[in-house]
Amino acid sequence: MTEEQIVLLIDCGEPLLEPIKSMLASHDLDVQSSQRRDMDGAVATSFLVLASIAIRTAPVLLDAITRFLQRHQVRRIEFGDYAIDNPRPEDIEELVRRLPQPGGDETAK
Amino acid sequence: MNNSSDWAAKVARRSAGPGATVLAHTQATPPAPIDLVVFAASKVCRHPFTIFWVHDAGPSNFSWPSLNPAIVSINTRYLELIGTIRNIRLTDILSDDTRQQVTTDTILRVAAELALQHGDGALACFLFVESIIGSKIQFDTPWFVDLESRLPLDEAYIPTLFYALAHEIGHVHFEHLGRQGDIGNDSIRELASWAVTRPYANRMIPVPQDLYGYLTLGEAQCRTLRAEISADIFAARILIQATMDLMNRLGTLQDFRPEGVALGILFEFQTFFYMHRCASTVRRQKHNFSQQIYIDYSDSWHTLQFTIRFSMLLEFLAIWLTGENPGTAAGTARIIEYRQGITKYLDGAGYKLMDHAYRTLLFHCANGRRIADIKERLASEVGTEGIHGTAIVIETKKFCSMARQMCIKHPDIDLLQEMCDAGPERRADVLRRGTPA
Repeated sequence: MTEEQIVLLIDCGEPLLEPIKSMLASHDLDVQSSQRRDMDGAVATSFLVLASIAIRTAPVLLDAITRFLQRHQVRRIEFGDYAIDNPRPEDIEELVRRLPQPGGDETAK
Repeated sequence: MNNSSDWAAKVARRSAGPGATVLAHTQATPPAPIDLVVFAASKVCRHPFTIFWVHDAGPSNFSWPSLNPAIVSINTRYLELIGTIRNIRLTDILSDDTRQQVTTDTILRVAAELALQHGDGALACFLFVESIIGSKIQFDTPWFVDLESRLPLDEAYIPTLFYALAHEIGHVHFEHLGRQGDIGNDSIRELASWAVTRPYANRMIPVPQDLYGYLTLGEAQCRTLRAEISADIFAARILIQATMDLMNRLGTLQDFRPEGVALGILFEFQTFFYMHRCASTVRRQKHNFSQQIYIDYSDSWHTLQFTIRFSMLLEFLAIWLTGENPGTAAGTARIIEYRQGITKYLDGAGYKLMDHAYRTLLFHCANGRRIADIKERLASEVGTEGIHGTAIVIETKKFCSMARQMCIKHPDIDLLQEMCDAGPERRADVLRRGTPA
């Protein structure tokens, strides 16, 4: 049976782009990223990293993301229907606590 | 990645900002003009892309070119405003002074709405009020649906509405080719020197002489120019193809005038430039850049970049129109003749109006003026009986509604809303009192 996948979306500054992608890729995840282009062609300041994550592995990965939060360049994290602006490590811990248990009846909301 | 339509919609919604309505584009039956642009682009751009319509937002476009599928937006307010600018530039029923006034009002309105989108309520309100006071004529801004139906389905239709879209798809294409076009840095520098010294370049987009000092283009500037020129040429090819497809479907292909589509592209490129300039200016203003910075770097580099891009686009279109080889003397002569014909037309098509309007915007931004500086003028005009006061209230209601839709809060917005809510005899008093109740 295919395990449920949830999309993780991270909005960050350019310096964190490659470190976050490398961390996610090291877990054999299909990762993609892009800079945002705006109408005035201003230097891109918004970068997005996206990955599909199995709910079973989410706690480990989310925990690994907390080490990138110290530099205040992660502007937003979305995981399924959860969204946190300017996340702090304790916000991620709270998110992990609220995740449904793999195999349980509840699905991530 | 699974469920790409779900996450792509989520990315598009959050990119468009709060309050915007975002809908994935779906192909119509029979195909709509935009579908013909998508068909033509998809034949060249092998990377998948999804287009999202953005309604109820400021007049700005965005894209995420590296995603799979890439995300490209098309903004209906942007289209309404470029449609308005097009109507003003091409109208022959207004005097020169009146055309200048409505052009300036429209450029200030564009900048006001962009400032709202950047969350700068104070600047947005000032620019908005400056755009509606002292106006003898309020030029109608068509709703998008009206714009679509009012524009004649001729060679200019597709370039007018879809230049920005095709340009962004061009960026997706080159991003996934793994290179941004084939032109090396030295060639870019040579082209830049050549482009800004073309006699027509200075007429189309005036370049101050001191800009030539910027011609020592660094790596980053060459990269930007390479990417933008490549996307411009991509857009031109796609728009030509889509226009021919449209006229073929309409049974009017035998009337197709290649110079009509070329002029449509170049005309729209100039409007595109001023929309970019407005966006850049309000963004800089938000970050408290000084007037010196605007003039010394941001706007100058922007202007230089667009001058070079305009020259390249004109050259490409002149070669395409003539079918001549620029390597031969006869070919070069024919290309020059076409270029002169095109620039003569564009000379009369109102770009100077936009340049003057933009300088007014720059003046207002650089002086840091706010609504308190002009509210007495607003009070005296909105308190008058007759159509002018009513028109001010109607436009102000639309503006306040847009601010609410975007979730932008500011005391100046509250003040304008209170002015609208008050009866005609109390409006001036509300403004003179100065702070919302």
